[in-house]
Order: sequence, then C-alpha cells, then structure tokens
Amino acid sequence: MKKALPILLAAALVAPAFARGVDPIVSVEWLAANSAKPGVVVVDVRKVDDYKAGHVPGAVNVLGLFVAKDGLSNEVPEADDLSEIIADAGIDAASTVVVVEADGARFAWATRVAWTLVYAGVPNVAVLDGGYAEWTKAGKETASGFESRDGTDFKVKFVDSYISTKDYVVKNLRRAQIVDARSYDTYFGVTKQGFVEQFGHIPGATALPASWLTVGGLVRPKAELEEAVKALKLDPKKDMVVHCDSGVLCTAWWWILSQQLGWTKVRSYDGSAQEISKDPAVKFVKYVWK
Amino acid sequence: MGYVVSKDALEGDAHFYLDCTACHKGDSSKAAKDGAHTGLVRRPSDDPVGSCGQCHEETAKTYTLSLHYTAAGMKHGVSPRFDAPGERIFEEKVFQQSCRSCHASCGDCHVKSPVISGVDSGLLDGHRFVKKAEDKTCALCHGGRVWPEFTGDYGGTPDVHYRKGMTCSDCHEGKQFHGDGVAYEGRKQVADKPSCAGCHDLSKLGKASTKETHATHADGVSCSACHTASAYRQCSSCHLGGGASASPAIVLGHSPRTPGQLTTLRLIPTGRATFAPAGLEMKNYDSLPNYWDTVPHNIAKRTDRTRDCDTCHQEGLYYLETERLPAGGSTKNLELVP
Repeated sequence: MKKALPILLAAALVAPAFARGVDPIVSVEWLAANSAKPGVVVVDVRKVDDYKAGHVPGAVNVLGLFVAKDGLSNEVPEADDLSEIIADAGIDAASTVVVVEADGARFAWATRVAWTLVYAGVPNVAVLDGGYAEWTKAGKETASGFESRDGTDFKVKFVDSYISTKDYVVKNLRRAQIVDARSYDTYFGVTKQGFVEQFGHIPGATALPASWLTVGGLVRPKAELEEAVKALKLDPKKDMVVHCDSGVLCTAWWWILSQQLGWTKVRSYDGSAQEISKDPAVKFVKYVWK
Repeated sequence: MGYVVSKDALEGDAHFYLDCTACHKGDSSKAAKDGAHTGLVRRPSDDPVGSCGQCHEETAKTYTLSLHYTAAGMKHGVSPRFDAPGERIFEEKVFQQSCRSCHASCGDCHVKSPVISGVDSGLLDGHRFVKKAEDKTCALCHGGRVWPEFTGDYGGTPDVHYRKGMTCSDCHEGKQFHGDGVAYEGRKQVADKPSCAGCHDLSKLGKASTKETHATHADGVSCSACHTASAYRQCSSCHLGGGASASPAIVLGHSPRTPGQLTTLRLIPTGRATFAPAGLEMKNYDSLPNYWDTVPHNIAKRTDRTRDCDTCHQEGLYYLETERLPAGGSTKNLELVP
C-alpha cells in the first residue's frame, strides 16, 4: 500500500478529467431525470429574449462568461467579475452544471462556457447534447420568463493547465502539438477572418475542424471521435494546444479531448489566431497541409 | 385568407374581430385582386389617430407628438448647421423624404419590423399584434449601435442589466416610446426619462471608498464615463461617401450639452459635404460639434477606470485629443477636448 500511494497520487494529479461526477455531454433524457436534483444548475446561455420565451424549467440565464478585452474578442473576464457571475447564477465548486445553448450548431459556444467554468474551478460541468432545440424536439416541458437562484459565495480558482497564453505557444512551438480547429479553407490559407493578420496556419499545426464534431445536431459518438484523432496521429501523452480564430471553436475540441477522452495535457488558447497572427515571431504558412 | 396570415393568428388575436378592411380599406366583396385592392392602404398606422386611434385613442394622439413619430431629434440635431433658406430646403428635400418617410408608424413596432436600409424582415409573427418584441423592433432601428452594444453582439461584453434579464422597456417606460403629449425637439429635452440614480442610490451604494468616489465625481463626471465596459461604435465614415464603417473606441470629453461634465462621446460624422447631393450647403456647419454626448448601453460594475484611478488621472487613456479629431471637422470639436 505504501508503494501504491504515490502512484495513485500521481495518477490523480495528471488525470483530473476522470474526477468529474457527470458525463461531459449529457442527453435530454439525462437532463429531464436530473435537472431538479439538489446541486444541479442548468445554465441557459442563449440571448435573454430567447431564454425568456422558453427554457428548461429551473434554468438560469447566464451571459458574459467570455468578453472582449485587450483587443481580443473572447477572453476570460477578470477574476472578480467571473466570480460574481458564477456566484450570482447559484453555482459553487460542488455544483453539477449543465450548459444549454440553442442547438448543435452552437456546440462550440456551449463548450466555451463549459471550458470557462471548469477553468474557473467548477469541475462537474456538462453540455446538453443538441441544446434547447433537442429539448423541445423531445417534447419536454418548458418554462417562460426569467428565473433566478440563490447566490453563492463562489470565488474562482483557475486551473492553469487548461489555458494557453501566447507566450506558452511561442515557447513550445516546436515541442507541443498545435491543433487548429478552424475550417480547412482557413487552415489552408485561401480565406481568413478580417481580424486575423495572416493567411494560413501555424507551421506544423494539425487541422481538426470543429465542424466535424456534430452530425444532425448531436455530438458524434465518442468512439468515432477517438478514431478520428488517432488517425491524425495526435498523441495524448504530449502537450497540446488547441486554437481557432478567436477562442470559441477551439473549446469544442478541447472539451472532447480533455473532458470526454481524458487527455490531460490539452490547453485551449483563447487569444487564438486573432492574437498570435499579429506576432512577427510567428510566421503562418499557407497552401500546405502541415 | 391570404398566405401571410394564418388561421391560428386570426383566432388568437383580439384585433381580428375586425375585418381586414377596417384598417387596410380596399373592397372585400371583390374576389379578384385588382378590385379587392382598390383603395388599399398598405400601412394604415402611418395615420395613428385614424387607424389604431379608433380604439387606442389617447395613445395614438400622444404618439403623433412623440419623437419616434416626428423624428424631431434627427431634424434638430442637424438643422442649426443651416441658414434659414438652407433649413427650408433641408426640411423639404431631406427630412421629409428621408427621415420622416419611415419614422415610424404604430405597426412598425407592433405588427411588423420596420424597413431599415432596404432590409424588410416582414411581419413579426404572422400578422399578430405584438405588445412588445424588443429584439425585433427596438433592435432593428437601434441595431447599429445601442442593441448590439447592450447584448454583447458588438464587442462581446453584454451590459450588466441585460445579463440580469432586463430589456429596453424595463428602463424606458411606455411614454418614452409613445410620447407624453409634448412635442419635444430632441430626447435631451424630455424631463422624465431613465437615469442610473433612479434605481441606484449613490449614497447607499457599495463600500465606503465607493461612496467617496461617487461623491467626488458626481457633479463633474457622467456615470457612463466610468461604467462603460468596452469600446462602442464611432461611425467614422457613414456620411463621408465611403459607406458605413465603425471604429470602436471609448471617447471621453466635455459634454456638448451638459456644461462642465466629462462624459462618453460618440462621433456623428456629418461632413461638410454630406448634403451636397441635395444641393445643400451647411453655412453654419461649425455651430455644432461632430460629437454628441452618448450613453453606450454596455454598462459594467467594474471597468479599467473603476479599478484604477490612473486610467484617467495619469494616463488619460480615453480622453479626446486634438490629434484624434476628424480632419476637416467642426471647429466646435475643440471645446470638447478635456
């Protein structure tokens, strides 16, 4: 037992994803059976008017979990602001949170919220597969108006291993696996967003479009996604940074790799191409597939 | 019944105890379109009193004096730039034909979305009469600036009030939409309008240092100067012949309408030649600045200015500077530079 203890401790340190108490993606049936249980907080992240018109009963509407900051579109709010938003929603570190977006097409926006929450120190977060559209399609009960929960005294405790900064990417360009979650066209360099300075991609980055993740509005089966990343020879034991254009789409793959497949060395880079393409030290390449 | 109005809508809306012709006129006894549409009125509520006013008498009457209907704010926001003959031409050739041509029938907000820049998103809900649909009505006309700033669609930082579930009519009461029976020249003249202090009692708000900060700044600094969360639209080229392009920024300067107050300013780029296509010269162009004081609707409890006094007091980070004034702009702009 004395020998086993350090091994167990080491395993616990490198595999936080398996400590979670809820599947990272839950179905409508799961939510219907569990939404009223104590400690479950359903977070609807759609626009206020859409939420007011109809939502999962008991869900609270939460916005502002990613904000424009320092010239970048989708950044983590300041710690005190983020603490307040999470606490006002009735969430604490022991809560089980289910994030509800509009539909499967908005999966990455749901994972952006979910990533922010786990990064902030709320480990048990799930995304509703298919979003609110799937809930109504299944004929489940809905509520209207604006609901609120009792606040908590939650204070963020950031999990630094979940996030990448620009400096981290620059320092680890040769060593870490860079995963580009944008479209093939953007990766190849035939098109780009106006706010991104360079065409193409970070040299050596692997293209893994976020659009592959869902089919028919639902997330593809875990085994299928695992097979896809294996075929691309991505190594779960090596450090990895997932990025996109402005820090939303990349969280979709981060969510799958880190929270569903249990890869422990994956970071999401919220500054993404919007930030790093402005750095003269990083020259994007185009018209190549690697 | 027609293809745009569902049976469900007819049965679910009290307005439809009236026949279509009660509002739209025409001849319902004729089966063929040409006959049925003789005398058709496409937008009945362009005449609020004669249409909606048949039942909503008081509201319709006051509405005809409201800023939403008269568009007087638009007119008086530029008319001082003209001499007397110029103002007459402006009234006839620009204001009546442009601004007033779509400002704003009852139906523009309660039945269908207004046409903005040629975009017509049609009936709100199968011709149901909708009491309020702020994301479709307010948001269309005020969608270039206020609404997307409020929801975070523009810049990604939702207003704290929106985050708490509040929308337009939670602050702006009905009489601000429908008028209060007085014909104002602009919204600044309206006496009874929302203010932050109407809900937030500064003498009770926050810890001691917050109270002190509010007390120190209350007379000389607007709430929005410190609590505007992020850059808002500065429409730098809308009227300069290059199409619309928004340059986001926070701009702090002297209010052109509240002497002695530092506040958030928004660039209103009426260029010297804006009305040249109508044969109009603005002889008194320099009587108005190119900025108006504005309240961007992306309020936050904490901003870089509330967190750190140096943002304004040392760095003057957002202060309007002479070098930033638009080239060829009004000489009046200089009075706004802190």
